[in-house]
Amino acid sequence: MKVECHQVENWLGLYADGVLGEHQSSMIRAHLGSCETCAVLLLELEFAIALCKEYPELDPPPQLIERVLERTIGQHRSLSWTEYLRELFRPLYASPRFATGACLAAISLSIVMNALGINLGEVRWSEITPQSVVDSLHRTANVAYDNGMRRLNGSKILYQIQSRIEELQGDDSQPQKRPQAESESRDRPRESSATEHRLAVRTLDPQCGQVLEGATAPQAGVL
Amino acid sequence: MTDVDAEIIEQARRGDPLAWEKIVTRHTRRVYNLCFRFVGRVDQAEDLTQDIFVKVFRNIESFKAESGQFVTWLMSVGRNLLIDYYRQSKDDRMTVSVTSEEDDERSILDSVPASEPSALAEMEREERSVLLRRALDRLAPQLREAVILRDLEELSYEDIERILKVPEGTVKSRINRGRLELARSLQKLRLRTREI
Repeated sequence: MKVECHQVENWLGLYADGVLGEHQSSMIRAHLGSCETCAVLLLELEFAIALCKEYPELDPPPQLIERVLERTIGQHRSLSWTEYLRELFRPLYASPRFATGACLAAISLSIVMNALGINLGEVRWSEITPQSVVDSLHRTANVAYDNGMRRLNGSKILYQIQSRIEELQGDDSQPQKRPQAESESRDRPRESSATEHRLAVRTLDPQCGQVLEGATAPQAGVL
Repeated sequence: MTDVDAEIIEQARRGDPLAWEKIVTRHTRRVYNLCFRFVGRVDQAEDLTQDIFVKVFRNIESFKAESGQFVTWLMSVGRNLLIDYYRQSKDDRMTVSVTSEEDDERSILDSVPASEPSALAEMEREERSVLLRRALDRLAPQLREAVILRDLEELSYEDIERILKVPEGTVKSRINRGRLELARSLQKLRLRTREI
């Protein structure tokens, strides 16, 4: 079903909030794809919401609490400093946003500490010196470099590239030997497979071993 | 509402000054910012914050924990007082002659607390705040309070319903219309600023 601009306007503010159902949202999406005016309006609307979100939160003047107390209970502040600070910042640290931020910060810190090879359970304050931090960083960098190089050297693709280069070098220096080398490399697997076959037969059937050995002897001679 | 909150509010209702002091200390920042967002002037926001707490202190007996959070109730009391204030000041404004855009802008700039204009980003942020303040002032009161509660106070639709005491459909309609008008107003203001 197609919708008109005025219908979209009735929903656009809620669409930006993501509170509309899937049916309405898909109709709006389809309309926005074809109507530039409404698409621009949505951008303006999102800009307005973003401005609201970044609107500064002001610190109330310190004497405001005193004035409120004076006007309500007729006395000055009697909370201790610790209680005062705890109550003052409670809405901040009790908010879900703060809790999420604190958790993310803790996770990031633990990842960084892990990467630096620092185990908090084993760390003593006396050991935390600039020199020890630098040494730890140096050690971590070396270990990371070694691991990286080992993986690089052990990678299959490197072997393939290396063998290809050797092949190419071989082509340049001894082009006349190539057919012979190729025939050798073709024969080698056949030889080994035939040998393996004989060994396997002997192992499986020791009684028929001699007969089989005799039967296979000419083959071995051919090979 | 947590048990600690409920306990403190109960103590305050029984007349414990220390419990009341905790409530004031905990919620002053929020109430003050709500007032500033409604009126846009720090001096008026301070006066209104005091008035709201006086009203809450006198009516704390009427707060019912089962009907919702204390903060929602506090915001509801604050909102009623701010609407009263708006009605009074509207009568005053009607007698004032139309001011020029420059005067208007200057008065808004004066209303924002001075801060260190060290970084360009900070200046731009302040400019945007001033722009938003002007656009908010142009909204009808019902739409403005809906936008403030949703986008500046970041309250849920349910909490806004409780504060405004209107059905969900009305809340959504006001938020939608408020946002659209705010967006159009901001667009016009930005275009005018560019022309200057």
